[in-house]
Amino acid sequence: MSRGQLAALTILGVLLVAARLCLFVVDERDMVVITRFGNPIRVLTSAGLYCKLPDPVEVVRRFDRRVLLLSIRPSEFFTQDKKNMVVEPFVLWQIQDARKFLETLTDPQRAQDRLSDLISSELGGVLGQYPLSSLLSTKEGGVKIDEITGRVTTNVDRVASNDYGVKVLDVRVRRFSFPVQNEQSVFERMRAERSRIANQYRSEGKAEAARIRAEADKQRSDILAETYRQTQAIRGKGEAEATRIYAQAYGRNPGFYKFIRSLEAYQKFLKEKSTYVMSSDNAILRLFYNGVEERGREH
Amino acid sequence: MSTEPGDDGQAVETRDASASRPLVAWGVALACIAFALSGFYSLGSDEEGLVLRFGRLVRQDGAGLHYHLPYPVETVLRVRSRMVRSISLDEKGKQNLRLTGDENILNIKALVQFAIKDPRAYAFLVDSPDDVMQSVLSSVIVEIVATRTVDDVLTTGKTEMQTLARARAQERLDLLGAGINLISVNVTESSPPDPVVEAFNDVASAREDANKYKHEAEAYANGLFPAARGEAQQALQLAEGDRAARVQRAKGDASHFQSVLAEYVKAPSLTRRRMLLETMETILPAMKKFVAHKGSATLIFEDLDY
Repeated sequence: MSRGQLAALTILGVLLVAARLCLFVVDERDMVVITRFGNPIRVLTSAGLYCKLPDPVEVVRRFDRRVLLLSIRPSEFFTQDKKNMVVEPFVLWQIQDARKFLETLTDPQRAQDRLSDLISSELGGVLGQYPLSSLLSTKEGGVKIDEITGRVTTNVDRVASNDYGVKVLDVRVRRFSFPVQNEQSVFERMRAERSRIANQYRSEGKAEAARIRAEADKQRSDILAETYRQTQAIRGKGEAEATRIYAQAYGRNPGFYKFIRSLEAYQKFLKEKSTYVMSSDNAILRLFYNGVEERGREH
Repeated sequence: MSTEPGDDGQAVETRDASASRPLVAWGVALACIAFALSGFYSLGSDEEGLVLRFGRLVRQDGAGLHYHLPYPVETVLRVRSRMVRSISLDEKGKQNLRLTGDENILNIKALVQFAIKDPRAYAFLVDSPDDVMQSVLSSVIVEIVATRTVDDVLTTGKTEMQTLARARAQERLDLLGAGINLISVNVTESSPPDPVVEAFNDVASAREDANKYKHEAEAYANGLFPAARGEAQQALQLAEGDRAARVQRAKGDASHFQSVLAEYVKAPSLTRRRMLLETMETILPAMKKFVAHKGSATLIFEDLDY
């Protein structure tokens, strides 16, 4: 290799090293602070290629400029009416002032811890001013979760912005729950309520069924009573008609009717067991006892 | 480079050098070509590519084959923007217990269907946008369920809840600039927690029982009427029959009397006597007969049948 080529390679090498040490990229997702000997001197928020003095003179401190999600561990809080609830919040936050952030919190882990503490304590404070019915209620406008988280957000944002250069966008609740030791009694209450509802259904059903049956029975006896009335009327008509016919017929000769009717009656009630005592001058026996004297008269 | 003692030391040196120089040159050339080719990339039909030059977004590409200046000058960030994805908001297997407005506990699990509507926002404005979406939706559902009764959530209010959750969550995501479009929120599970499942099921059973009682009673009632009416018809027919028979009998008797009477008036006393004797003939034989003799001092009975 010639000295010229060696020289060219060397220059290329030096340029590459220089680039490596002095050039850096700020990504769309980054917010960068350049510190000189530890003191922040530049804040870069636009993406692109930049240059600086090499480490350790000037150091690149890179931060995520996007909206960040922080889940906060669940904690127990007391409401105004001394009921305790377990709340699991989360917060959406963003670094606003990178320089201040670097100076106060230094790194994201410390920022998360600090935010967690701030939010937990603020949440406890605000929640203590509201009754349980502000968290759980079926009344129109009873639930004020929005208001509560809004207040927490505003209060924490004020502190975070002033002290740490952090913007708190929204504090929300991922979950509410009863403390474990209260859960059992809640389940008990739920069971009792369901039992009450079940009993109500069953007894209402039975009552309705009894009503339907009684109604049916009543209608049935109404029908039968009406029918009895009608059949009696019909039979009555028959009797009346028969009586009219008899009266009309027998009325032609009541004496003769009495006669044959009596003969029929004799046939009915004078039977084997009856004893007949006749007088000897009975008309029937006349011939028997007195002979044929009255022969002539018989013609 | 080897050196051999020989008369042409210069020539050996040159040969070695000329043997290695083309190799190096070719190696460097190949490396340069490979380096240049590394800039090619292709995007699927559901993808979009965000091309960053030294970290700054310079263009957005759609599906197909593209080229960018090789790293570290340009890089491409792939975003699956047209694809519709489904994510469950809850852990698999475990129940997700939420509190209702009437202080009851329910297991509610939901599924969200979404797509990326703004790849730039999705990539650069929010960190872990999928997680953010899940958290926002969870909080929206918590707030909605906290205003509803147990029965509402389990039965009638499900559809309304889903619609409301999607709308509210979309509002908040848009405020954050997450670049996500929520297509639908579906409540895949809403059930009582295990410790109270039996009690809840019993309510459903109770409703069924109540209906059963009512249906049984109605069946009884429906059976009663035809039977009663049938009985009534029968009784009426019977009465009608009796009435007709009674009248017929009367007519018969009357007509019989008429005929006998007609004959009687032709010879009244003769007929009377004849009829009387005929009657006696019929009844006397069977009876015990005694004659009391008129004129005797004592009553003497003569037994005619002896």
